[in-house]
Amino acid sequence: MNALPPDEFSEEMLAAYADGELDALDRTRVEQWLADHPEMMDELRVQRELSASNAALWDAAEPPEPNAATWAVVRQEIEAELCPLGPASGDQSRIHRVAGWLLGSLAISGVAAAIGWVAFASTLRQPAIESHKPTEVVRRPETGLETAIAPAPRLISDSPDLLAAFAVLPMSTDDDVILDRVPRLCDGCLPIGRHPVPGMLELASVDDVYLEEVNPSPAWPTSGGPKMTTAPGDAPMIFAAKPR
Amino acid sequence: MRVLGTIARGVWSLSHPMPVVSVLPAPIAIAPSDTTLLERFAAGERTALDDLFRRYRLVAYRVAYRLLGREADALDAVQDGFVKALRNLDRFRGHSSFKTWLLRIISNAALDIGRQRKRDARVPQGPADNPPEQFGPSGLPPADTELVRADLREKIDAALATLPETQRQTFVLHVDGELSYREVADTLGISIGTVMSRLFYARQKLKSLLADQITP
Repeated sequence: MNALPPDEFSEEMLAAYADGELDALDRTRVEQWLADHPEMMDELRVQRELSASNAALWDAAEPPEPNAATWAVVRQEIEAELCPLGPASGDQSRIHRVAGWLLGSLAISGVAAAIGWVAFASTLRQPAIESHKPTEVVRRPETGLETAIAPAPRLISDSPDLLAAFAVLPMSTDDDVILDRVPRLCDGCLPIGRHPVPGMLELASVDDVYLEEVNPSPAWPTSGGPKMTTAPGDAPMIFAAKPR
Repeated sequence: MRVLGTIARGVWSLSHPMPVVSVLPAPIAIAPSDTTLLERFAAGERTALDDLFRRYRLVAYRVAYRLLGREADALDAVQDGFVKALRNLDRFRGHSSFKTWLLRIISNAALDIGRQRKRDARVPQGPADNPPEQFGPSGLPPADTELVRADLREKIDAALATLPETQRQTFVLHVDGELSYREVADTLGISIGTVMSRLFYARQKLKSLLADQITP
């Protein structure tokens, strides 16, 4: 943090300063910067007031604290989940555990025997009851889309178009969004709905997206790559389709 | 030795008319460190779990509540988080504090529950039960002040829900988890500059959404 050059001084840093969250070096840098830019003192005051009013608001809306009984239940459930994995603590607990396993095994064997007996007895009786019931056949409703959906993809690395075999890409159930190919549609748009596609979905606007961090990519052109800043509204966000 | 000396002076004072006042300092209970508690827990000591749970349950609950907005969901996240944290103690290297490690797990558990809840919400459901926080142990409706508080809470929850998940998690860990910028950075494995940026934009957005509640 303390290696930031002065030209990267930002409002975020001023807010961190207002919160008392900077180390000594950065604090000094901000104070020097404020001395050179006294007009920013108002911004600092705004940030301090915002922090204070936020804290007051949060205190006033403190979540309801669970009562002691609720905490006890949560505590018990944590222990119940941890216990089977809990480490041994002395001979006594080991003896208890072995005894527990034996008793548990006996109990499980008993339950299994009982279930087996019930199942066996019911199969003996079942034909007499079932013989009077009509046979039910469950049919899956035909949607008409099934013929359009291709089988699972075979990814072939040297194929120019991995999705060439697909007319429709099933993303979810028939009731959800289907991504489809629409001829002569502009690049960077996402068609929505079923055939015929009624319109396009705007993926995001500059108000919805803000850029947090960018690592330089070797794929960028030598001219320096895209110009990006971290402030919202400074750069358009473009969704572009890959050329095929 | 000090205790013996004080008792000796006390006995001496009984045999002399001169008043002697001796004050014994109250015993100071020094809480065991997290490391000690974790070692005791690993050795199978049950009370260590009690101590750890009591120490961090509230801050864990506040973080989970702010991320989920419902007491029952928040308690689920607290339970999941404690279980995961204690089950995977071998992965805790001790580079950060146990608190930051626990809060990372709990906030992630809360976000998982939130995502699951969104998926479940696609399935039409019956009317929701009254959330537990609306009624106290007595079963009576809350007092007026609690209604105001609940209303405010609802507005804050709605405003928080509009933030991107990463901003929300960062903001909640700082404000409700009471973690410093550095601790939030360690918790989430991000740079402190990113913490600054996320908090700044989160505050700007909350400021505009809660403008009628914030009185500078």
